[in-house]
Amino acid sequence: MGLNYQLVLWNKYKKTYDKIIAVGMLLYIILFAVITLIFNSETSPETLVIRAFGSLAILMLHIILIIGPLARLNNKFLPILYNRRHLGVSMFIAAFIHGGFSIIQFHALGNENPFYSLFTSNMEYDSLTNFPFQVLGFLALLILFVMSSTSHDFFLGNLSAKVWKRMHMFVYLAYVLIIAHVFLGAFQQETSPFTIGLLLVGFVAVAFVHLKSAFKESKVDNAKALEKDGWLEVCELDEIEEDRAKIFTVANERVAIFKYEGKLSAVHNVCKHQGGPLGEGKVIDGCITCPWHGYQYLPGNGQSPPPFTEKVATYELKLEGSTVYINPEAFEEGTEVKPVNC
Amino acid sequence: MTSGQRKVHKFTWMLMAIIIPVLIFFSIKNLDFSEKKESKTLVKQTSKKDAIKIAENEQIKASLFENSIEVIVKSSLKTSSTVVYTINENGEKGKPLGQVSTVGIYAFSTTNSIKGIVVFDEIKQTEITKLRF
Repeated sequence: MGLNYQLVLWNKYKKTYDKIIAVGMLLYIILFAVITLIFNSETSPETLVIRAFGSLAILMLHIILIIGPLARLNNKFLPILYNRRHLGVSMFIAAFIHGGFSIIQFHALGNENPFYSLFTSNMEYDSLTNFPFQVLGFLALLILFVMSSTSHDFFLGNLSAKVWKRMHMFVYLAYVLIIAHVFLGAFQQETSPFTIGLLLVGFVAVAFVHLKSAFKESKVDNAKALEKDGWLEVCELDEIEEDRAKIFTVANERVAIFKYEGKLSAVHNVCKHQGGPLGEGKVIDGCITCPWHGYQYLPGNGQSPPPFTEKVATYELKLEGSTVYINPEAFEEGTEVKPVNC
Repeated sequence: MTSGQRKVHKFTWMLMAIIIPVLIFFSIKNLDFSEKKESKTLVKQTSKKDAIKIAENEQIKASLFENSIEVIVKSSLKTSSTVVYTINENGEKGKPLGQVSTVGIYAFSTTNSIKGIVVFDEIKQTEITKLRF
């Protein structure tokens, strides 16, 4: 969490994370080159670069797509979600090298403009297996470029989390385009059951965790609560751990009810930064701390501590015996609500 | 995420879980996964025999045998996806024989009645060279 925009807000975790990414990418390229030279020693350097970076970008995209739902299914994966944006930018760089070398090798050696050649050298747009697959890769690269260049908090802050999130959901369109690019391109010529099988396994894994996580979330959203005089019954007090929260659905929106320092407070569950689940975070130094990127809010009023300005909606609670109740009507974002003593 | 965003994610992935497998199925259903192995073994067998017909230019040399054809790529073709086809009755590309890439010897199974070969750039959809027997 930073007050001013900087290119990268470095900390020791980000540095470690980035070192792992860089070393991983380097090792992959070296391994790919060695295996290629052993089994196909006549491969030209240009082709080697195109294939190595193309396959690296696809591998990284699968990892990126799998991190989000994995973290939803198991909290242990939250640390790798923390700096996913750097992984995304690194993946774009790999894809850009693949795309750049491909355009130079296949389209820049003639008289035509390389981009004009890319779209017009094969005009079989009405065929499936002869479809100009390079166009699909180029369109995916454009999407990845827009996402990569707007991944910084500056754009997140100025576009709003809602617009930013919608825009970044285009990664799924990019994924479809890339799958089509590979299956209609490389796999039409290199008919290796091994590589085709690998990509199939990748797709099945990504789709499975996304759908599993989505259905798990739907179950939480559709849970029905008992109503008593306009108040909804949440849970028993001892179901909430100290400095942790119980997540509860109110009118299709999730609320996080925190227990801390002998008090109970309820805030809207969605972090203003990237929509992280506040209720899966904990109270640190008196502040609710988002598990995704560490954005903080005061439990009593849903406001980020000064000088930060983020605010989330607050809710009224009451305790009857050991049962916690919530008023489903949300207060304005940042409204002070007296915590319930427990 | 808000409940709206969760719904959008769910339906997007349900849609993708249908669309992508269909796309994959139609893109690979006509692929021949055995072609490559056959070509490599044929290189050893045919190159020692006498060819029935031979045609050659500065880029490639083609030797026709009883049940196969040997194609020698003499200089780099500078194309990413190069496929060798037989020449049909109209003198145009007919049945695909297989793919060639860098300089080397390639062999494909075929009959000895073919009239020649066309080397074709699959990406640019252009003819690179043609040899007639």
